[in-house]
Amino acid sequence: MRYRRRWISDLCYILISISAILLTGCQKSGGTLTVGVRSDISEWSFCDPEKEIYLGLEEDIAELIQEKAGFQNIHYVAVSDSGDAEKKLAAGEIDCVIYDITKNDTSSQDFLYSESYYDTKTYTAAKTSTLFTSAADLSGKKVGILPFEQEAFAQLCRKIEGLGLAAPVPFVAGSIYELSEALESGKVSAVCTTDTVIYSVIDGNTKIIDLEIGTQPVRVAVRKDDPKAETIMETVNRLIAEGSIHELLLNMGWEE
Amino acid sequence: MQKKRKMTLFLLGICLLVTAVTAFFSFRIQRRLTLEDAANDLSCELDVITENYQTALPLKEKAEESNHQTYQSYVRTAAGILSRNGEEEISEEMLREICHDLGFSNLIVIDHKGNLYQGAYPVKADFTLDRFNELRHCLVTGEASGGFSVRIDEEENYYYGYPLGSERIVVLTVPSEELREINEEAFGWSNLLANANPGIEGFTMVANPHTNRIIWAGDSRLIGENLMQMIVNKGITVDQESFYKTYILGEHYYTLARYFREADVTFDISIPAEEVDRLIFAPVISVSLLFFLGAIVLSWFILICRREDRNHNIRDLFRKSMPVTVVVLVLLIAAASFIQTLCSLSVRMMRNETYASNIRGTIRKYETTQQKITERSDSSTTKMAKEAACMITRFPELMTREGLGNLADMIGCEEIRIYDTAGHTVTSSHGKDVFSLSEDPGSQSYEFRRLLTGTESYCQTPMANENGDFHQYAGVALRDENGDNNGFVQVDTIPYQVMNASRVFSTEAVLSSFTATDGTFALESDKEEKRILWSPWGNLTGKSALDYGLRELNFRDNFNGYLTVNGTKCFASCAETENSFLFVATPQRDVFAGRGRNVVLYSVLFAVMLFALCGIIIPTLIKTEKTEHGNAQKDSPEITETPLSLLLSGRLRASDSDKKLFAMLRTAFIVFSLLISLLYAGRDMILDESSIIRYIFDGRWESGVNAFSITACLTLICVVYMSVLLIRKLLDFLSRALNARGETICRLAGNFISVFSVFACIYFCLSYVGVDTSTLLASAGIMSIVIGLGANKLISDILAGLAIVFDGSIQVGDFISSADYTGFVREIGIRSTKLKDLENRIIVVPNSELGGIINSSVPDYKIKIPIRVGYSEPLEKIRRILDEERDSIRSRNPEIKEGPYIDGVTEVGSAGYEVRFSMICDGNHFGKLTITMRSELREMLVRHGVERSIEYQIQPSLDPSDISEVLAPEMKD
Repeated sequence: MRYRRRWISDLCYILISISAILLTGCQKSGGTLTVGVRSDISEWSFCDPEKEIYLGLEEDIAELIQEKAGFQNIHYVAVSDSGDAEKKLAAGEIDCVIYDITKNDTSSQDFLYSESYYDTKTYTAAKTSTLFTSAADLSGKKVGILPFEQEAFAQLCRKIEGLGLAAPVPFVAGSIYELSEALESGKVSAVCTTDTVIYSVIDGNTKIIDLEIGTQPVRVAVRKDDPKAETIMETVNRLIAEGSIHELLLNMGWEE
Repeated sequence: MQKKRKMTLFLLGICLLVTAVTAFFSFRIQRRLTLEDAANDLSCELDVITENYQTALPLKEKAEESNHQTYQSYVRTAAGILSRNGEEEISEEMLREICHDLGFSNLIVIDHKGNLYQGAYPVKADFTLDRFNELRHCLVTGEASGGFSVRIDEEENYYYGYPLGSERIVVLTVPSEELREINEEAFGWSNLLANANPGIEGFTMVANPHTNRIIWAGDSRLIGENLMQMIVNKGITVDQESFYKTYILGEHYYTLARYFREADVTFDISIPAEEVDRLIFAPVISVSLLFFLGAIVLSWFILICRREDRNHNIRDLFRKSMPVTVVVLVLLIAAASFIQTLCSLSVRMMRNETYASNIRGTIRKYETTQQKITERSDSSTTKMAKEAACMITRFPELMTREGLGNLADMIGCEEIRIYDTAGHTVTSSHGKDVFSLSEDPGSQSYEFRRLLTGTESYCQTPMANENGDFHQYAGVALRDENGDNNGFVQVDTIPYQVMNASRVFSTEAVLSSFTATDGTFALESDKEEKRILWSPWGNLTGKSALDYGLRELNFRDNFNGYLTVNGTKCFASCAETENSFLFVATPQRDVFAGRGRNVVLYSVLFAVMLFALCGIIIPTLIKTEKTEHGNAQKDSPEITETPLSLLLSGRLRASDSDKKLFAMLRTAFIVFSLLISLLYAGRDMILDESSIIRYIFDGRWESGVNAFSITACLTLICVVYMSVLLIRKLLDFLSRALNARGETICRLAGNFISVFSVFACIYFCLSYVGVDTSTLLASAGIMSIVIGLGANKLISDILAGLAIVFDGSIQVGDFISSADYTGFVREIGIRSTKLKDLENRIIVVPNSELGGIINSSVPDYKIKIPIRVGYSEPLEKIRRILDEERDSIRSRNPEIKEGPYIDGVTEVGSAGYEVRFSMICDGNHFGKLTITMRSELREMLVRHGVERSIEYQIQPSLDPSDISEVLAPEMKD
């Protein structure tokens, strides 16, 4: 009888402990973390439209943030370009943007940015049948770009203008597919984009033109007045300092 | 009784717990090995794929270049025709006419900026765009521009350009399907990956490493899908070799990916997870079940040891259980090793069968590919001849050595010859001597005579000349203005694609690629003479396979088993083709690679878990028994039942620890046999067609000393044992309903079936391991006559020994007696039985003389003790005294199972009468108990003042049911 009472008291103790842990966990999590990610960039962030499953490095980083910051759930929202991301962030539709390369003085008034976790390189590519080999070949030509990569195109223009040549003319494609099609059909003479996108555009008949155009820091962005902002920023900066995000980039072959 | 049940449940629980832990670690061990094996196999396959691709890549590039050169020659020819007609004369009709004559899809003329000048048919492309810079570049080089493809509005074309003067360009458009078809036929992924063997039901994929899109897959539904979406394990990329779990088309797969830099693609090879899991779970379940049986036997043995002697401490019990622990461990290791062997053979059999089938399929596929490439080459060479005929018809001035030389350069052939209507050469681009077509139907040139008799074109099959160089000739008839035959034009080309195809798509190429896969190699022999057509040992080619270890019985479709090739013992599968037998063989050492390590791991695991089991049970038993012994002396402490024995065989008849262990082992064997028999009976429903157990059950293997025959022997023994057990139970059941004669017949039939089944098992087991049983039977007949004449005593001893063993009437440890012998059975031999008598002497008794013995080692032995009392003491008084004292007598003598009772008055004498007391006890305790009870009863009567005259007599009774008969009248009274 004595043992039975002890057994019941032990069981009660275990149940109370588990409940306490669960309750503490729930209290710690800030509910749902809503993340703005791209939806058509292979390896970085891709969404299966039928299954609505997001996969890629951006999602891996988001899940790391969720785990470390103690959010219970995670929800992804597709952002088409920088403008769209800023709009959704400002409207509170999303809590953060994982891939952001738009930090400037104006945006810094409304948004908080983490430390840079990756420096994305700008590339220019053209079909081999164009016989383009140098920056001079791009002078005054129509160059395809994506909406959220205006800065990359600006870097290309600066590079070509620096050589005393006429800057290329931009053609803003709505999506990566549209950009690929424009390059394939000859609608644009070349494309200018970042290394995260370039491999989704080119194929065996495309050549990357050997130009050192520049890099852009990639950051996580949050809205300043969002109550979750501080937690997210603190977590992201800690993950960067610990090297956790660097490890993910290494695993994916984006860092050496 | 409740305590017994508690103890049984406790042991069962501990055994289950330890088995569960063993199963968990077994799973870890097996999973690791199986996944490593799977990854290694797939890695080997990727080696084969990349090696094949590396071999094929230069040939592919050369073939593509050759195709481009062909189309460049077409655009050159078109430019030649247009320039000879005059640039200003170019019209839409003219371009269409050329397209029609030469089989072009579209021909366009553009200016140096890309503006359209004239076109045979409308075109969507805007040639002024930078995308077409390469076309305009031909004005700079003066050469034909290399073909490049452009896709506009889902329509993809290849474009070839050639300068027309200094300002214009002739552009030939070719639908990309046409070129792709040419390349795909020979060097498409399906051909290049044809001889990859991704497991049994796996497939291969090719993906773009940058977009992760699947370019090609064995299952066409996957083409265009994103590989990233299929990965279950996250954080793994596809551009480095990694083994990861994927979810493809509703099923889980294990996929290995490798980036192939030369082609800038990722090769992904997937095998169903179910295929791998099956190889994990089958051995784990088997091993766990056997471990559970072993654990039950061991724990039971420890328990009965403890019951036998309560004075044992932990160390004693450990020491006593150690031999049984070691035996159980050895048996488990042997079983694990055997299961691993069967698993290895199972995997190898399935893989080799698949390999052999794949090779056969690949050879057929490659034959078709070669045929298509030859047809394509025929078409291309004929087209060149048509180009030449077209030019010569339009511009007769070309019929000079120089003119034909230029024309040959333009269309890209080796030589052009013009023949007259009599079949003699008029002129040629090489300016050779006059050549005349042969009139011998067996000659190569004879067939060209048909061009002089109405046939429009003829193309010869590519063949090697005296230097070993391949050449192909094609001819097109020439017509004069009236349409009459005017001789023919013949072109000579070197068919590079056919030459390449004969190297890449040969049977040798298919077979040689198998040498790269984990030691597995292929061998081909012809059907008729069994001569080796191909083997890894080049020096064996052309020799008889029978001289190098193979046997006639190996040459059949679906053969699986051991064979020896060139001194190497291999496990092989055979597939029959139209003209040959294909063998896929793995050297024996490679079949079992890695299994040794697994067996060692299992051994360590079993040792740890068995000792842990002892470590848990022994201290617990000692602790519990101490408590119980102190509190409940009255409860019978003997546990004579286990759940399994109760379930399957009823009460145990054994009377000491050794016998109980034997009974437990027998129970374990019955369980094992039952499982095997059920598996055998339900093999069609339970086992897959490709399972090795099914293969063994179906008897498709070759006899000999190997894992198959041993498994078959085990199966046979189990099934026969269970069948005999069942039949004997039925006969027992039947005998209850029959009279004494029927019962005798039933028992005789049961014994006969047992003996017959033993001989049948021996006979079949011998035949399984390769002994020629027909010769053995003949020899046995002769031997029996010889033995019958000279050694009938010996034979009768042996047969009696077998009868004792199978009848089970005497067991080692029993106390037996007859008119001549009394003692404990020490050993039952094939000829004689050894007894140890009460004076510790060893008596050797021939088995045939062991008739009419009394076995006292029975579970319910009746002791009878007669006591004389005086006439003054009524029987009723003695009965009352006994009723009062019975409980105290029982408590002092726990060996008494029933009684003591008074049977009644057995003798009346002059001084008094004789009262007989009786009681039931275990046969092993009768000696000691008889002496004790004699004293007990005498003291009891003295204490109560009964006048007595005491004698005693011991009369053992073998039938426990006697007690009820004897006591029944008394009890009624």
